[in-house]
Amino acid sequence: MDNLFGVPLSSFLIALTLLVALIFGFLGWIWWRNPLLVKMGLRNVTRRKTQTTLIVVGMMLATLIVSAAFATGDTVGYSVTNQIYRQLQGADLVITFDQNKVSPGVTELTDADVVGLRDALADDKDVEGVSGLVQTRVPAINTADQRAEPLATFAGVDPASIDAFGGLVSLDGKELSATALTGDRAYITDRLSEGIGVGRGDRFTIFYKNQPIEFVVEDVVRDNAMTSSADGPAGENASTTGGLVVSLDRWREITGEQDRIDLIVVTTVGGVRDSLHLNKALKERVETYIDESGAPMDVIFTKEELVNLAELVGSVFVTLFIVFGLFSIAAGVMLIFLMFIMLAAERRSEMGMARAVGMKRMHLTEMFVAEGMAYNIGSAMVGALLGLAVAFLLVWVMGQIFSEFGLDISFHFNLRGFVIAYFLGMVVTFATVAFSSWRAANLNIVEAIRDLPDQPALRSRTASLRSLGPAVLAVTWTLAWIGLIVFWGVMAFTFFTVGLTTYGLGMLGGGLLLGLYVFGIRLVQPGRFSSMRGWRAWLGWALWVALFFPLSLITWSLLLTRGWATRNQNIGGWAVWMLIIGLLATWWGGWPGSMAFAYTAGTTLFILAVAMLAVYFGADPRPAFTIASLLVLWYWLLPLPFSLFVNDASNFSDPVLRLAELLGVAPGKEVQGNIEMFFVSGIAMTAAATLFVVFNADRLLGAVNLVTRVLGGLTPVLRTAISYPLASKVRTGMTLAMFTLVVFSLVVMATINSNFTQLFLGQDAKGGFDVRVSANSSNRIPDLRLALEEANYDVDANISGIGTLIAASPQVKATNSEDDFATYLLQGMDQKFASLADFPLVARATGYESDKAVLEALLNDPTLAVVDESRTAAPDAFSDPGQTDFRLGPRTADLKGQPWDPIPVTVRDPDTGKEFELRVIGVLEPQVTSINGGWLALFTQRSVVEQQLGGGDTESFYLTTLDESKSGTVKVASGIEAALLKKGVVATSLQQAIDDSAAQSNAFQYLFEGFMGLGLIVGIAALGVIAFRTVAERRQQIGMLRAIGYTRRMVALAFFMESSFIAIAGIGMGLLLGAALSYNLLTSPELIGETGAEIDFKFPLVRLLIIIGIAYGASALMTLIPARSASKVSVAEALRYE
Amino acid sequence: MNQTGDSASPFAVEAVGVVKTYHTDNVQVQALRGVTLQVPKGDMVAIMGPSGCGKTTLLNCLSGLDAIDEGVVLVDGVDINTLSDDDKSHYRARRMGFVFQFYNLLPVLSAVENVEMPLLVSGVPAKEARERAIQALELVHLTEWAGHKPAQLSGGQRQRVTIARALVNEPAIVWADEPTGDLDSKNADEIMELIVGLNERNQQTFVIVTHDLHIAQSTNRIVNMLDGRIVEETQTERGRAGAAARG
Repeated sequence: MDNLFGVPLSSFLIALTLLVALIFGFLGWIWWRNPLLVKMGLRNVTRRKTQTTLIVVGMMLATLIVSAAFATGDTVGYSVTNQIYRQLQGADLVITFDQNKVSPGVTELTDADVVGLRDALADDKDVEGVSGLVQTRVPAINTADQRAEPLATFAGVDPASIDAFGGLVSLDGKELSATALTGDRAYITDRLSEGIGVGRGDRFTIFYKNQPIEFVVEDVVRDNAMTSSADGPAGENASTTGGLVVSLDRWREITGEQDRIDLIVVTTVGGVRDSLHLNKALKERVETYIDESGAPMDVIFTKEELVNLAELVGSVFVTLFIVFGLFSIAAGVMLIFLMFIMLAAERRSEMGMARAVGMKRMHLTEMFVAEGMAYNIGSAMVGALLGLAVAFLLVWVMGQIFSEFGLDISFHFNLRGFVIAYFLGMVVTFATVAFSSWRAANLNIVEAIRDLPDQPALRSRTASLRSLGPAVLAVTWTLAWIGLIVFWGVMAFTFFTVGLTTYGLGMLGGGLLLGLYVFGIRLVQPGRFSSMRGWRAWLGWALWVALFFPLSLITWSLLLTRGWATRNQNIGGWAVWMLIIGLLATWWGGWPGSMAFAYTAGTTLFILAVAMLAVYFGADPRPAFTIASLLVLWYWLLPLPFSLFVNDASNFSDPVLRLAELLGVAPGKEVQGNIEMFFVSGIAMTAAATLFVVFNADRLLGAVNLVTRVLGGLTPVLRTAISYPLASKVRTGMTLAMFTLVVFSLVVMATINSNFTQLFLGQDAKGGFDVRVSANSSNRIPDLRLALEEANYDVDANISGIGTLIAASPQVKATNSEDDFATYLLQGMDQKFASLADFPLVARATGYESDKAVLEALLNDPTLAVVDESRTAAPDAFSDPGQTDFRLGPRTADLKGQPWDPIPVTVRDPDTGKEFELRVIGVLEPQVTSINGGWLALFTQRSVVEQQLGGGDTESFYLTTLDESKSGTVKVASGIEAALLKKGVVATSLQQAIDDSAAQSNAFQYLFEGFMGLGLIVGIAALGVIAFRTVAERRQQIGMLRAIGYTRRMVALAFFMESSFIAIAGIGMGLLLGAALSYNLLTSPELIGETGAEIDFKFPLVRLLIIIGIAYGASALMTLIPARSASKVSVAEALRYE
Repeated sequence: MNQTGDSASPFAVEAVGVVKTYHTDNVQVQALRGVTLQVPKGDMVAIMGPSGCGKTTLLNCLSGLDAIDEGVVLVDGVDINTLSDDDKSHYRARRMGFVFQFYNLLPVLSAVENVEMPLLVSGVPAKEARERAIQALELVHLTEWAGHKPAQLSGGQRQRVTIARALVNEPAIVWADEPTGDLDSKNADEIMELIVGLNERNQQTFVIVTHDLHIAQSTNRIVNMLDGRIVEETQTERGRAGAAARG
């Protein structure tokens, strides 16, 4: 993978390398100025080894996730790219028949088209060859032992021109020539060779139009796009079953299709992998030829486009994993912050003493930064390496899943991606460490030395309207610094992504300018480089201002006002800014920007800001933040609880919109949101829930006291176990938030995934049938019952009903639309099919009282049709906007919401040009087409296909069996395949197909859920850090408890229950919030309207129990160690401990 | 003699030849070098000496908070060093009270909750434990502060809560390590007055470690230590008066 969404990875690497160099430069500067600080910081690392281990484990998570994401994405991109090269070999352009140019007599490519293109490119120095080939699917049988493959690709190639493409390669890597394909000789691919058990020199038979044709294997070749990728039966997935290759003449002799060409391939000069740079220009020349000549050709892809797509796929995987890992990364950042709070608490008195003897606050910050970087370097490496291990596991699982689709995924290590992950983790951790260190160094000297409690920060001592103004300005000062840093970061990043040739200049120039700027700051700051002293200082200052005029003025002003800003900042100033940002974000997101992220985040900020402002003016923090947190929770969980009592609760889902409507300023459009809303909702709800718990902890304790009275001997243990966490708001709150975030994300993913699997892979997907039999277009079966009886299969003993569909591929368009005709599948159903089918409809036209009535009407009126829901759904992200697509017109939501008349569609036979009209009276539920791709179609009477479309292309049969159990249907399917071996039918138990799809879907889901569950490591590490810290903090109290009669076991139990309380509370909160959000999402009218699917909402209890069990179990194990350590404290020593 | 310690021995504490050595890195420190001491029931003894003489170590060893290397310690006739760790804990909960210099109250619990802790640990039902805790607080004149947390009490009040906690389980002996060390003189006098009153009324045995002679003179007997040994035992004026009254 060379790019991540268009940005070269090398640019990322350079930018990150510079940032890391800056970080180490900063460390070097600290060491140069004051090596004692670095020494103190580094010695703290070895002070408590267990704590150090926990810190490293907690810090490494962000790097682990990024490393795993990059390694996985890179592996996928690399594997797909390799697959493309293997499949295409020398083919650089692939051309097929342009369906938009269908006209009577022109329905496929011919030899003349190949010759025409060849002649046009004869003088093109980049082109090495042009060739045409044909492909179809036939059954292949090893007559010696009856091993068979029903859908082998039967390819015909032109020996005179195909050798230039290098597509015929033996298993030992030798290039073979198609000129050897004379008479009955054929190359057979590796997959087919294994599938039917034949090798070089063996004989095997294919069946075409029910006639056997025997071949001798000339040699076994590797599978690729030329040899084994023909389209399967209409609507079926292309299977990976291998194929055989014969000469074009022999193919035509067998099939009788004398002039047909399916694909034209063009190869450029150069090898398989080194000619990509020629593809784009060549494609343009070919398209120019097509336009000028009017040939019915369409360049479907070039090798370069596919390779770029592979890169994109890799990038998507990287992004997907990083997005899903965002919760864990957020929890990881919180853990780093929490750990530094704990470290600061541990060393409070010594830090106070250090300040008392003359150390500055900045020195303490630098000391913590040095210590933090020591952890960082180690943890980033551990995280990067473990990320590789996780990626290896993910790739292994994906390999099992993707192999079903013929894609080989195997782990690929990319050093650049590894280094990027390592550096990125280091940079993110450093930023958090720097902020946490600055925060930790902020202490009151006297309170620290005397170990007095910190004064509460929430209330401002000088709260008044008059002091609010300066407070707002002071906060503006901080925001200006943040803006300055962000501006520099964006400029620097832009500088280094301008392009390859300017990297050198960019690096030098940018580095020089940055150095000058920082040096200039030192000039104006009192200290070592004293300002305004000597002509050199004046000159330097003048140069600095001249070079960076606006930036330098801003920086200088900020430096001058530093002291004033620090003194005047308070909660009121921050609240006002949050109010302003919240209002602006809500307005921008709801009105011009139409962005749900800004809209909802702005509203949340606004609510919290109001609470902060109330506290600033003297309100009690508890009720203020309780009300604010409940409002935020309620806002995010709307339309609950109204949706529990009202059918359509959409009026209750957006109070801001209701208010705007009342005021007459409602926006005219819906706000749009995407996957980022998952992340925003989690953060907002977790923050609100944590605030609520933390500020109402004492009330909860009162409830616990009522419970503990009945618990007798456990009372003292339980009481201390719960009282202590509730007394430490910050650390308990942060740990609760970590657990809640990760469990929330897991619960939402698990619930949504399982409900969608249940919806789309439930019994509706069978459509009322048990077995599907797909005939081979090369060996049609007009009557399945007859064919089975002729093959001595006992139909009556196994099958209760046979419904038939005949498929055709006409061109279709909605009659009243401006769209062009587009090819779409048309299925003609017989009476039996209609009577057996159980097709739930998402919408019916007026006048049809039930779904059954619609199908019955179809049988009685050949002008009626139903269509699948994909034709009324909104186009998805993967639709090609340049591709003409058949759409019915109205959306699913529109058809569900109001009565509608039958919608006319025009159908055109591509062979004859004849048109006729059908009227659509129903739309299938989307789950009906989950496993039957052949039902992504228009459905009408069989007679329409037979009479209007020349009999159609192929049949498929849908059976009901006497034994409806899964094993019974599997037995029937395999019996039918065996009986009709020579016809190349594929028979599938629909229940088996559902189970296979569900298994694949579940495998993917477990993959992502497992990846997201990595965040639990953070919560568990947090518990461990807190537990170890509390044992140290409460040593004297442990001694006292032991003195008054606590046994060792009771002490251990108290600490264990303390950690358990936090874990259970966090897991419980995550479970409740995740469940509520999932319920909202899955029962929302918007989802039902868009997909047409009404979900029978269920909680996946087993899966949730597993998540909770693992989360709690791991937490319990982690806290056993400190609990045991607490129990082993020597009483006498503990009593002396200070 | 039985494990609950209801013995006919006239002594609350008997220590014979107690030796305690601390090992830290490569250094061995012999904190007690063969200490022999007897504390009759109902007595109030002060242990004094310079810093590092071993007085707190002696208290810890006599109360079973720390193990001894040599010698015998009998508390109410029970050789506590033969008890298992759990049995020692049970014994402390039922038969001993502790008063520490720095109170060691649990900051997250209220005064009455701190006081009732030893009873709950001993298995006394919650309702009875609460009643007895209130009674203990009455003894130290702090009933109206029962619901307050330690942070809301003054130093003297906190020490009273500690004393109430030490007495709530009606211990045979109360161990006090510098009970007035963190108090001003007025509070210190009040606390000693309380302790002396409890000793006189309830015949509770007190062993008090202190460096304050004025405090020590409130007791019956002063035991002076130096370098891990008892070097002198003297009866105070109060002690002599008491002995004379008993005839």
